[in-house]
Amino acid sequence: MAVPGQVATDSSAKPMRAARFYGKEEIQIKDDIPRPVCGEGQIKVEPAFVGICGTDLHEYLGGPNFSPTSPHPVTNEQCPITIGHEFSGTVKEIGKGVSDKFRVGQKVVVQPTVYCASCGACKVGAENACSSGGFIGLSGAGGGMSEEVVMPEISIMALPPNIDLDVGALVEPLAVAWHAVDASPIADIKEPKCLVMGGGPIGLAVIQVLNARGAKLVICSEVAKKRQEFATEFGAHHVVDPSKEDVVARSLEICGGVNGPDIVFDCAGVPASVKASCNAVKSRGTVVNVAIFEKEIPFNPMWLTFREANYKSVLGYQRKDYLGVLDALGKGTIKPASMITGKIKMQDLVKEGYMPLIHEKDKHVKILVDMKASM
Amino acid sequence: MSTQDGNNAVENTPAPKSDKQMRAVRFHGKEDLRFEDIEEPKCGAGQIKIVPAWCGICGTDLHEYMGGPNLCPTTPHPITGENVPLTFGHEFAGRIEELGEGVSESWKVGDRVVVQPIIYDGDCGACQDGLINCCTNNGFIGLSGWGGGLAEHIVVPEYAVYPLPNNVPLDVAALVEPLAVGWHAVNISPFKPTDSVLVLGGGPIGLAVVQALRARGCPQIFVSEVSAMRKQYASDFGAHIVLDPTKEDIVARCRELCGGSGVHVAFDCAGVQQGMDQAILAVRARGTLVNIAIWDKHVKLWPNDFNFRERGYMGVATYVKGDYEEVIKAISDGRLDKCHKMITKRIELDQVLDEGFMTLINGTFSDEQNLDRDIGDTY
Repeated sequence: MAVPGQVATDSSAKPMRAARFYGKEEIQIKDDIPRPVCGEGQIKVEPAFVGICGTDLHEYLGGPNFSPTSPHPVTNEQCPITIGHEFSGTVKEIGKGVSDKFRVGQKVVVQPTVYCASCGACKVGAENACSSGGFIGLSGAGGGMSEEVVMPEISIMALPPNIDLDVGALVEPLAVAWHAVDASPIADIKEPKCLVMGGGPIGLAVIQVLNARGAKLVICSEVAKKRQEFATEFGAHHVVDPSKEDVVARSLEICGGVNGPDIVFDCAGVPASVKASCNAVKSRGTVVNVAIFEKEIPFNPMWLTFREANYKSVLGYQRKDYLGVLDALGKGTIKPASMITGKIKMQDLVKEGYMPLIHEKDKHVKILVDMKASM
Repeated sequence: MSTQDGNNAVENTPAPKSDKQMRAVRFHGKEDLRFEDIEEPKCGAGQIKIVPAWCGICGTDLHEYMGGPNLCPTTPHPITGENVPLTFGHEFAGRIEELGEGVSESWKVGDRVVVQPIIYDGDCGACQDGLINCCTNNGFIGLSGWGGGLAEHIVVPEYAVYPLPNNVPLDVAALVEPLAVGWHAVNISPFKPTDSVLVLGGGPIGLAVVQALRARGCPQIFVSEVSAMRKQYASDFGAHIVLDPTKEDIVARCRELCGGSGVHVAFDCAGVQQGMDQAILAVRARGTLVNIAIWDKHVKLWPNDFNFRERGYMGVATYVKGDYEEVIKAISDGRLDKCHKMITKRIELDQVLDEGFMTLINGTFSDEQNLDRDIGDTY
């Protein structure tokens, strides 16, 4: 079976254009990148829209952290690597042995997960927690900000016909949220009441997925004014400002005063959000951590112990989460188009993409790179 | 018979006072434990008066004595209305000496019983969900008022009293409390009978977890422990492999022993940073670290260790309705057949400070102790 993240290149073919991450504060647009070969069981995709993710910004500002500086165990690549793991595109070539579900020109999304398919985590179906895992666009094997990407058939999924390619680039962050909500006990709770810490792109995605998955009440805790508005727009029933109000007391009150929220999603990832999440959740409730942290944090096990609460972390997504989001998009239970707050060309990636997201982050949710316009 | 249902309204009335005196071990404050005369309680309506036979000294008692009052209230407890000085003893069994008006006719004077010491309000959010152990006002008999097991008599609400089968002796019944802590932790953890497990710490609670796991047929129980005596106990009580964190790499060993993946569940019964750090990494992808330990300060946590393997962390607190019944049944039917070995010393009520607390604090005995206050009692 083709392993996601293992791809051959053709040095005799005309090289292609791609945005490449070299290291801290260094990104280059190159025109000499070898084209991938579409092998057996694989599909070649021509990227259409690529989202810029917080992880990309973290790598740019302080990396390489996630991006490998020695050969990655699956992709065998190290920096410089092609950028872009949130993307949609069209099928350009279909490898031998691929099922007849796909046709050239079809609108698709790519699940960028790289995994070894043989470790303990992969064997139990947790390929997102693969001990050698990664993502195309962060760990090598190409990325969305290039002319062509090759992945196994299992990593490629059709976009519903009524959904545009730009919205297709939002499937990845929505799948993060879908995975987090799926990992929570939401399905076992009658009229679930939820608190979402943070109204950034992932927090907003969680708010939308919670509404699509039948949450009775969604509270969002967010400091920035503009993000508070986004939270309301995307379906938060109540917005609490943690700089002005006590999130723990307010969420208890909003939930009716007897018990706090059943589930708390930490999409902020700062010491204060961890503490508030653990203290706000009801007895035997669950805190789901969706955030990635930059450093260790102070934590008190007693925040959870006296109330027998759970803290669990989720990472990325699995194919089922992509399929869940695609189904919800097709049915219209998630309408995320207004998450797109800018579209740019790849040549302007740092100036018009990274910089506004770093310096004016409240104004933006998602900036997409329009690949057709960049070639 | 009324039981600790949680979502039932409870009558939390203190026992009436009498003009008789009795002997009791009372905690007055840090390093101040006194064996003294106090008023003997009378048996009110809905209450049962018990003569304690055996009472264990718990790590919590020692913590209170050495550095408290922490859990023991210094201002009136919201339910008992009492504060220090308070009678100690929450791990105890005894015989019924008097039945209050209105209690079930199934009880008889002389019945051998064990007391489940949780005090709860019955109407907070947690109690409404049946989680009396998470009650926002909760307390414990023997720590928060209503007397304790280290006294000649005690009066408790009927709901706190559990009957003992004929083949469960009263000294062993004093172990039901710590065993219930371990039993409950295993119950609400994601543990499945085929899972491999790491237990941090071979103290009384660690040993209770080991026994609960053994009772469920756990095929791989690893215990991480430094002290030689506790290592031996861990082995005796059912650990398959005992690891020494000062000599071995716990993470590497757990992975190696589990085909490269790590354990499914780890139980933290030690409450030290280094152990927690190791346990997080010793747990496989999507595995869970269960905390039973009481921590008195913050730890450093690196949440990404949870993220990248989708690991979970959960807290567990004491026990709920059902746990006492299950532990009593498991002792009776032999699934907890080694538990009597947790009793390492027997003393009398007037020896509690010198022979009990001091022995446990100075480490002569690192295990559960029971206090004989009724020599010659026949089971």
